[in-house]
Amino acid sequence: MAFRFGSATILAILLLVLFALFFFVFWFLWYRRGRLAEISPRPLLPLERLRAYLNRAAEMGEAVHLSPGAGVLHERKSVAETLAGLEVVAGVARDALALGVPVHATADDAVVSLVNGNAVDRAHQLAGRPPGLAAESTWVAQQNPIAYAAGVMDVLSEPAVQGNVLVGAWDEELLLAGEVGATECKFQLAGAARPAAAALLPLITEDYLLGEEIYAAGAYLDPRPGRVVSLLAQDGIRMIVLLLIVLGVILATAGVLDTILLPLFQMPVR
Amino acid sequence: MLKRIVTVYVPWVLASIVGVLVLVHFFVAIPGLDPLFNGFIEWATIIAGFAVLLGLINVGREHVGRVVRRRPGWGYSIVLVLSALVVIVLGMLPGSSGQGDPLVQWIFHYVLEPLATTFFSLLAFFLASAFFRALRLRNLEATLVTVTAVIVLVGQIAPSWPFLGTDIVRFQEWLLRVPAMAGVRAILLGSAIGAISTAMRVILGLERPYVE
Repeated sequence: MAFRFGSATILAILLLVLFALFFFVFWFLWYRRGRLAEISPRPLLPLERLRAYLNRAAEMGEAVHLSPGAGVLHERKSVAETLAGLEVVAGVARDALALGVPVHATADDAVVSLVNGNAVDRAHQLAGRPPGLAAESTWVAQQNPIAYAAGVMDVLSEPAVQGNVLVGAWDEELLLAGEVGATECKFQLAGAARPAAAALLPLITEDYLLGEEIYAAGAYLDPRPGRVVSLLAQDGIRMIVLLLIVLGVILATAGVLDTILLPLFQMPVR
Repeated sequence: MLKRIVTVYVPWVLASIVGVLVLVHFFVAIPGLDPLFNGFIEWATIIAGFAVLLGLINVGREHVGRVVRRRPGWGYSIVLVLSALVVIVLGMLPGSSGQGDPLVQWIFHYVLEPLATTFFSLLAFFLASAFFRALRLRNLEATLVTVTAVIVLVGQIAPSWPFLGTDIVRFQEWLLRVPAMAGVRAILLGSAIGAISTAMRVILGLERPYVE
């Protein structure tokens, strides 16, 4: 039995254990106090503006397009972002359909499309509509991000679609879909965690979720205990990492880091 | 109750156990367990293959339905269905080697790839349009992105245009090495923490996208 990443493995496992610890502490507090959700989450203005837009869309008879990005669920590099995007799709679909705003949900991958379709189907059921309507508005481009972006551009050019939500696993193709959304739609919410797409966010909309905010969005749209607790744990760990970085800078400046702490971060050469 | 056990609890327990095992295997090499983990990966590939088939059926049903009902854009649906059929038939002909078959590869190299590349090259024009709109709206973040992009662009071409001087090259290199790299690392660190949080929810069964 051997660690794959040398001494860095211990740090990674420590971080995971710390995360789990935070998770259970907040979970315990949630059930002891019940109202823990009210004290923590930082405001995410884009989501508040999305809610305001959905209310206007209901009055104006407009439709909204939802996308979890061009990622897949069976590859490590995009699974977390895609899951975060799917949480946003499920939450926005539920809010939109409850108000009577039609939803066009699209996905780039067959597996993501199934989960996406289920989320919209469930939102239809919650809104008291017959299941099966979601199948009409869900399609797939099969793991070709550029072709998918082209398809999204086509959906956004429909006059009825005036709201656009692009949150999830995006790269440069975000610009193709987002630029059309910026010119054709009244409201656009975009979110990405990859640097290539993150730099494009301010260009396509004022309402964007940057980096880890896409993972927090699910807790705002559907504040289940598990999501709120994990958001609190996420914020707690973020503060600890921030403090460690500041400490690291101080120690590095003092010349201590190289001799004492650096071996901890070393990984075996492959 | 039995239905709930089969559709909710069994997938939950299985997903949690496999999730923990894969996580441990990611960090620790345990001799003798590699075949098990390779098996997991093969299962995932097989399941994903079935999902692709399901996706293909879904796309076929949607587009054939569009043609039959003469809905807007039905002409494009004919092109899509015919293209899919041509590739499938070529890949399944007797003696064909599937996706590695020369005819299928020809379609990928000389039809699909040029189309994708052409479309991707439109990004430059979309970017110019986005920059122009951002400057018109006087949005601070967008203006910063635009100004930075212009500096980097000029810095990249400066070595070929001596009259631009070398200061712009040094400034562009500093921009990329210090503020841009700091920003990228901040985004990546935050995203990694968010990804851990999402993974933790799935492993603990608090988020169950596979049964919802």
